Amino acid sequence: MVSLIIAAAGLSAVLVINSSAKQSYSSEQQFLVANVTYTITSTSSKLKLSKQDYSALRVKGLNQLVAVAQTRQHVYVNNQRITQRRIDFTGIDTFSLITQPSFSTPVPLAEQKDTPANSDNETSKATDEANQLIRQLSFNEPTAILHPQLLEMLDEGISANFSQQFTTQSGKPLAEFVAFESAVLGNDIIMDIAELYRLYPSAELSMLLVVGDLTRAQEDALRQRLPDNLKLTSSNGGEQDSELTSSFHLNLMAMALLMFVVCLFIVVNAVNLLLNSRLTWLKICRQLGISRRQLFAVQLIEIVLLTLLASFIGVLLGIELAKLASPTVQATLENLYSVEVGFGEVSILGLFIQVFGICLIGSVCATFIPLNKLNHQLAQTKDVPLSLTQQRFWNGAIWLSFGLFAGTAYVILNHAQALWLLLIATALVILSGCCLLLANYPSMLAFIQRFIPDRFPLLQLSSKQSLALSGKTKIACCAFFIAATSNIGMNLMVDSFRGATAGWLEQRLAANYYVYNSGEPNIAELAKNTGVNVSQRLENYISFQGKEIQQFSYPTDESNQQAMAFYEQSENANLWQQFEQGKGVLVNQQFAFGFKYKVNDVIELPHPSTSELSSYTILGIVYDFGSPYAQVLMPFDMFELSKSKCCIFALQGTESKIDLLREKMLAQGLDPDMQLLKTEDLLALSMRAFDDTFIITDGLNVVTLLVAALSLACAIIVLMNDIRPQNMLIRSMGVSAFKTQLLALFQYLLLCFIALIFATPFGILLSWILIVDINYQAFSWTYPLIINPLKILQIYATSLLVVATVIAIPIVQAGRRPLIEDIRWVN
Amino acid sequence: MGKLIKLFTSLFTSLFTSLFTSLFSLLTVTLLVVTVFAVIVFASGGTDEASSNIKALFSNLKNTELAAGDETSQQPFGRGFSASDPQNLGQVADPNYVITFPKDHYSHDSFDIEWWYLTANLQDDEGNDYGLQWTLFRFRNPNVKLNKSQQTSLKHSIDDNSLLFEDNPKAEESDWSNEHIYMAHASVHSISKHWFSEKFARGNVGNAGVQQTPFKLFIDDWQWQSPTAGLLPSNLTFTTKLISNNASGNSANDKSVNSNTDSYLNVQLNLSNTGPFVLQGQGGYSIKSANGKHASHYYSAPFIEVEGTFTQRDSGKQIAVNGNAWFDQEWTSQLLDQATLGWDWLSLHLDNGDKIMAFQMRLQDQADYITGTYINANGSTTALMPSDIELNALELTSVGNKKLPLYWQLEVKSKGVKVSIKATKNDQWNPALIAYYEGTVAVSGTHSGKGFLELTGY
Repeated sequence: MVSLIIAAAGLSAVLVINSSAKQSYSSEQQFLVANVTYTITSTSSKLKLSKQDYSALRVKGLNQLVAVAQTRQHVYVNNQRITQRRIDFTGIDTFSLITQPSFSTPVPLAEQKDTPANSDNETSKATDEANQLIRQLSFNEPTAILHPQLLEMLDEGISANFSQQFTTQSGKPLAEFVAFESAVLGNDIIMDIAELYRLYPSAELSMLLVVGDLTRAQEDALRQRLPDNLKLTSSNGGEQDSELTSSFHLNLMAMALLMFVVCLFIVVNAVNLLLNSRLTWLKICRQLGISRRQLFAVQLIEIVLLTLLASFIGVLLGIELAKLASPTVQATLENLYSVEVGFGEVSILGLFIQVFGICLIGSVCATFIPLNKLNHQLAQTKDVPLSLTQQRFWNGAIWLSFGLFAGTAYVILNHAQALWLLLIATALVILSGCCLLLANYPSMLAFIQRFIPDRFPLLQLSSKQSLALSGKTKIACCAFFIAATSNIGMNLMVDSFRGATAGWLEQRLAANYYVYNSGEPNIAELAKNTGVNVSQRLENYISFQGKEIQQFSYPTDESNQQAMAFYEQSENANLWQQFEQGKGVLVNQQFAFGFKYKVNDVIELPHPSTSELSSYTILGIVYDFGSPYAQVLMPFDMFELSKSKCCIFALQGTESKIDLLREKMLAQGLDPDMQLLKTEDLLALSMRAFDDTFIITDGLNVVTLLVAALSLACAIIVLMNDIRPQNMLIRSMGVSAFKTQLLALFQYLLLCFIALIFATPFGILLSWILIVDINYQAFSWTYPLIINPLKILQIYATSLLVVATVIAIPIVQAGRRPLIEDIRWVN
Repeated sequence: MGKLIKLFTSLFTSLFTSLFTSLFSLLTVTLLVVTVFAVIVFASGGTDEASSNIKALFSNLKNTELAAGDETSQQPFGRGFSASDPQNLGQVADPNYVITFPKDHYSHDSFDIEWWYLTANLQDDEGNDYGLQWTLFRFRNPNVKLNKSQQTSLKHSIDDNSLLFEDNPKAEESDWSNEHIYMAHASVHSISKHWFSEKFARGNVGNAGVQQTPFKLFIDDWQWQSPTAGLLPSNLTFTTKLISNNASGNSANDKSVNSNTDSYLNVQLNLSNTGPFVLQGQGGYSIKSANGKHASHYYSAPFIEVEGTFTQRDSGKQIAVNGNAWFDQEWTSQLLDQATLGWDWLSLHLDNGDKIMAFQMRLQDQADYITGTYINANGSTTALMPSDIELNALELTSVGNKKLPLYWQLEVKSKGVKVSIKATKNDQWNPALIAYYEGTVAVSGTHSGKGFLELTGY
């Protein structure tokens, strides 16, 4: 029942989030603005859209444009932050919006009396209401529109003292909030653009909306008038958007299904447990003449009723869960997929029908296995072991499955490039591991038995019982194997990635200090006369094979030469000489893998200052973790300060000289505390950010282990009944209850240990696939696999500890039973 | 049969078990990959210098950084669209102020309201009449606190320092606004059609304002452009949308008209001045009420000759037009207050070359205040005080849900003028955010001619 409730709650929560995200995503970029047909954005994230771009386009006659600026900020009350995650504050140029024909069409006076005040159409009513609110934003007292649920959440941050006011971090009071129920609104607050800039002067212009339809000719004219740094995109779902949306929903649905399947997994075991405890009663019923069909029908009806109740409770819990989880889950999803997860309007009845339907199918299917087993038990008075032929058949089938899974995975991994195919191959690898484990359990156990000395008869007995157990706990053992494999695979991958990143950062951060400043003044100018040696990183954004890439300068002094971390480099001894002479370039992995280039290949690139196309040899491929951009490094001398942007400055100097620069920065209105960072601090901050990112992985590992352990625990409760005669006999021979408990624990831990041994190579293989194939395809980078035996031993210990803790509960319970009960039970 | 069922269930069980395990493993891996995607969070940005984290970090810090600003409270904008707040009144019109050109063609930023107003009575080659209006309004929100550089520039540009408002700063300018808001209206009437559009813009954005040299009034692509620092000669261009088309029996709101290729009209006019500028009232100080509380600085250019073209945007069909125009520039902080009900304004081009401006201010609990100016064809003027002029609405005409005085009688005894003035078309209402009547009139009686009638507050 609890499992079903959890399954239903989890499923409903994800469905609610999914539906909210869908509604928000489908209407993203509209911000309550109807009829947005195109958006204008900057061609590069580095070439920001500016107010000057907007006014210049309007002066050129592009009057359908509406500027949108955004910033992500916390809300404060009495200088205390009251929001868990930042809220998207969106400013719209309402002055432009209110005169758009689609917003309001002037009606001649003679016709005004005949115009219906309200439209009958629901959509049109909603639009009218939104328009009314936007009109309010433009000329009335500053107001801000937000979803009622967000307002409710914010109101919770205000205590009973109503004189308190929402403010920005610097204490500027926010405009009066107006709640508006709309699927478009999520974790955002919409206001007039001037108000946004008043509150947050650092907000950035994010896009220009094109309101209203454009004819083909108008679209062409618009494209022609756009300056080079801006691009026009149809807002009716570009290819990229739809890909992102489908990937986002696929992952959300995968998470929902995983949660559901995990819970059903427990349901299978729970029903098994339930039927097992009722077995005696059911046998009596059977002896009284009640047909098996009737017994099954009653059990099924019970399951259906339980599912109904569980679904009902689960849906209610799920909706609450979605609300509770919204700040964290939504923030994670928004960060991962850059989508706005809103407060969707969910029909409870619709959701209930959906969840009940899925739960019913799931629970009935999950009940099928235990019922089939029950059918088998009711039909026979004794367990009939499989005949030799049957055993051979099953063994053959398992080995065949192994061969099929492993072969298919090999073919896919060697030939496929699509991410989804690689994922399937990964799953096949794990499945083949399951088959291998199942096929080898008996021989492995027999092998281990050989090492148990004769003076430990109880241990020998226990290991023999493990063999019998392994046949009855296949699913639970497989679950544990999968959990262990995933654990080892993910941990090794993260460990390798961490090691590679830390090494790369330590090597590349060769200077003492770093300054990031995108605006005026130039730090190099500022550092003159301070004695600080400043090395600038000049950057251009250029087009290569139709894609935007970074063209960065790299200093060629010896310390920076030493600092370069190569993935692969030319065997040419004069690498740096050729680089300095401008004959060759260094590219990052993203460039090499993305455009399929190797070391010593020749590429054509525009010169950083003259833009003339020239040929360059790729002298080396360098690591550049974390960057989504393909990058080409060229010598500093080829760049011109007037043509390239400079944001990063590497500083070398003594503490006193750096202090001098710090003072100069302060005098120029810069904030050295934030902009000037010591290399050690930067490294520590980077690694902390890295570790924070992978907290989710640790949580996931524990969850998979717990699920596997729970499944094992359920299986143990059932099996404890099966071995009651043996236990009774052992205890009658004077073996203490404690010893029998220890022996039982030994049996299961032995099974788990063997699963762990099998999981180790498969975990390493999984890690290798993740690094070499999935990282390569998904992020265009790869790094060496580091197999740390200590890490593997740590996983062994954690896994066995988790499993031992969980399965100890039923074992201890069974051990507490007085011996006489077992004797009576057998009789 | 039983065996078959047993075989089937056994097979199903095996299938289900394997499917179950497959699903579990597949989904586990999918979730693992989701966590791998979390790397993207870690990896936002990307720089050459060893760490994309650096930029992500700095950008994060930058986002949390808030610009320093004074503690300010929020005030409604409201000005210009409703009555002035007497506590925060802008600069008051000064009877001793001497209007000089070209300086006074430019913006008078310390005053609350200002407009540059052109009305024109035009004809095409076939003798069809057209009325045209183009206006740029500037409204000032005195509650916006200026930054120091702006205060300094204003100090230099205007002698009178009373424009400074440091004592009472209530709001704060932002990068996307200053204390000024611009509004513009463009309207063209033929006998059967009405093209009308309006625009709004904020100061400090760059798409609206008044440029001094060469002189330019602009809001988006609506531009009054002079080659010199003076107001005239000039070129005026704007585009306006068809909102009413009685010729086809439809309103412009019908889809049939909206899809009509004639729905937008591009207007291009050359304006040249053939006479002097006329200072209204006493040397350009125009009193609007009996107690003198309502007054403005006001001058006109009534001798403008116009020639130009109307181009139907999509069809490309061009209509050449020419005629007379009247330009007003007026700036004040004392026109709109709680007592103001509205006003009626007339500009008339008489056939003998003389011009008349008549203005009736309607005030609550006060008698209507009528003033005007009689302008001879040679440019000499006579200010008309309330005792010199009689202006009466002869009847009210129902237009839509309003009753408007579209038929007037004007008498200036000292000039021997007694004329009837009638709107050439009833519905010349500008359905703007702030709606009013602005349309052509025909003059008959002792004199004949053409002109424009403006009615506000109805």
